[in-house]
Amino acid sequence: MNPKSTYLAQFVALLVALSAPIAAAAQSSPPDAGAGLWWEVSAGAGGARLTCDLCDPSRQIGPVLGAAVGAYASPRLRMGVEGRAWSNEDGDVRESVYEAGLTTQLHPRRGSGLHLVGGFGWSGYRAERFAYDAVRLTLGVGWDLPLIGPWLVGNRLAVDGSSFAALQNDDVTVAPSVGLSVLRFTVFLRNR
Amino acid sequence: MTARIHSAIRLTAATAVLVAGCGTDDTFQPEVPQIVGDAIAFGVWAPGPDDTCAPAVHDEYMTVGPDGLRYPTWHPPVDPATGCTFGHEHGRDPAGSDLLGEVGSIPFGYANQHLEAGGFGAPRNEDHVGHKVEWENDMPMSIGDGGSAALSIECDVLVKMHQGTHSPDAFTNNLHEVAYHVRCSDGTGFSATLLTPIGTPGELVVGCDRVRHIEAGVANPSISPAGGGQRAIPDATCVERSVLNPSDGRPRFDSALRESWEISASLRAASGRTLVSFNPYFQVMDPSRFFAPGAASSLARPIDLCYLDGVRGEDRCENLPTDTIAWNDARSPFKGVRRFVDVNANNVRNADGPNVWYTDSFGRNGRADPFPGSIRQWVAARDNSGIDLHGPVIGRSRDYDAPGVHAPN
Repeated sequence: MNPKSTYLAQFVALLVALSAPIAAAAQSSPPDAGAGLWWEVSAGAGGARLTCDLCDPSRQIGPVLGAAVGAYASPRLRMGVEGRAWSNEDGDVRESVYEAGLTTQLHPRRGSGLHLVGGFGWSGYRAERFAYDAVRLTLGVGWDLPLIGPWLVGNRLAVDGSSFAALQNDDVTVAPSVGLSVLRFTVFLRNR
Repeated sequence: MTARIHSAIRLTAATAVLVAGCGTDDTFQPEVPQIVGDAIAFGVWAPGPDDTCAPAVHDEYMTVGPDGLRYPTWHPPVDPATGCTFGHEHGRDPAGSDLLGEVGSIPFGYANQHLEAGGFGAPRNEDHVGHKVEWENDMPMSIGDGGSAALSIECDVLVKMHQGTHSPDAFTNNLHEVAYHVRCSDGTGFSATLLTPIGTPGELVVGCDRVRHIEAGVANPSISPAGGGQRAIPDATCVERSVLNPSDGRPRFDSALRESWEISASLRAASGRTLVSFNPYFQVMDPSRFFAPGAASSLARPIDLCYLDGVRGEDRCENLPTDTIAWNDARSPFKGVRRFVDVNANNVRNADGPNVWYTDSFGRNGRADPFPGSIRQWVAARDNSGIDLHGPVIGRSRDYDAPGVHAPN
């Protein structure tokens, strides 16, 4: 693991450590979602990888930042729109993944912080003149805990997957059928 | 027939059997040729006073070209069977190249041989010792425009360049034979053999001052076409600057003498369309010559600098005997054995094929069918536009010095 990856791993571990006591303290007071708007910001680490015959098979690790806003469809179901960015410096090349789309977060049991995440939207990969744009699906699982007042904190493990799109250098197709996946672990702060 | 000849022909035969089973265009080698004679380049080497191998031993290292002629090919500097020395080396043993099985032994002088038959109005034959082989397997390639972050491509490359750095030939003559074979994991690949014009005929570029061009004389042949790239060769000012009067008082021969032959080669169809282009740089750190106007043939020898006050015993002159040695003494540190290649770009524009093209010795006038003097080239049915595929430096840490090796090498 390179030093940058080590720092990211340490950062994520720190976030997990910080959120654990909050989680423990909040076990007795599950969230009481059910009305109005919500929004959240998230930060963490993600590993991104393009998949094709020519693609670099290694999963590159980099920081990921995100934000989402929406409304409650029911006490157990949140819906909204989200945006996210991941980045990594590979040698002297800065590569990034941008994502935007719809998100849903479902609590299977009312009062529990456990929730499932689904999403749909766009993913774009950029590395100088190389670009990839595709439809994305997201699946994940998370845990949220009340913090203070309308605020909640939690963590989330999710994977964003895209496929069947071309990797291009300007207008030239370099690889015709390419997949993109981002496996990410984030900590979020949400306002009901 | 010796084991060495058996080995070279056996390799060609094995390739041909493979071709016969798979079709004619899948690989570089088309067929097993019958020996019909000797190329001009064959049998020209003669031992010097310090070389212990007989010409007959040297001639055992031969291969048969697609034209059925016998050509010299790579051999070790010391004959393993007899222990005799040839006094020169041809670089890295191609036996370790992953491409040797497909492309076979490289015939030295093949493009020279067919130059006139292809329509050029003068011969161009190069000496034997200047043929230098370099190769690397599984090279991780760089991909420009940010592609290195997304893609992972490896290539095998096997290259032979005629790069004589002991005589005045390259001061004026810009036509030099290159054989270049590359196969990559993305499907990029070609095998090209041609005489490539490097820079302007009759002119050299000063190695330590690339903006300065020197009219060095008349090229041979005088009708040599100009080409891309350049032959960066040291002149007396480089020696003055880095060896005789360095700013810090420390002579640096590598800075003064480094030669860089930067080729810009291509194969083109008769329509003018470029099928393949590549631009490796061939660099030599220890040539046994530099350009010196006023000297005989404008040629001076670095070894003579080692006996000047202020240079004696310094840098590359360390450990030399106190008595002067000749430029072609095996003890000289200037004999063209420290070389490396910048692989650089490999572009293919041949998506619609065919794989086999026949060109003249300059890699021009490419057609699908052979013609008098044509050279069979192989190009993958591939267009790697969008993938700016650059190779790394290969051979930087290698030194081809060996017992008995001396300039001219």
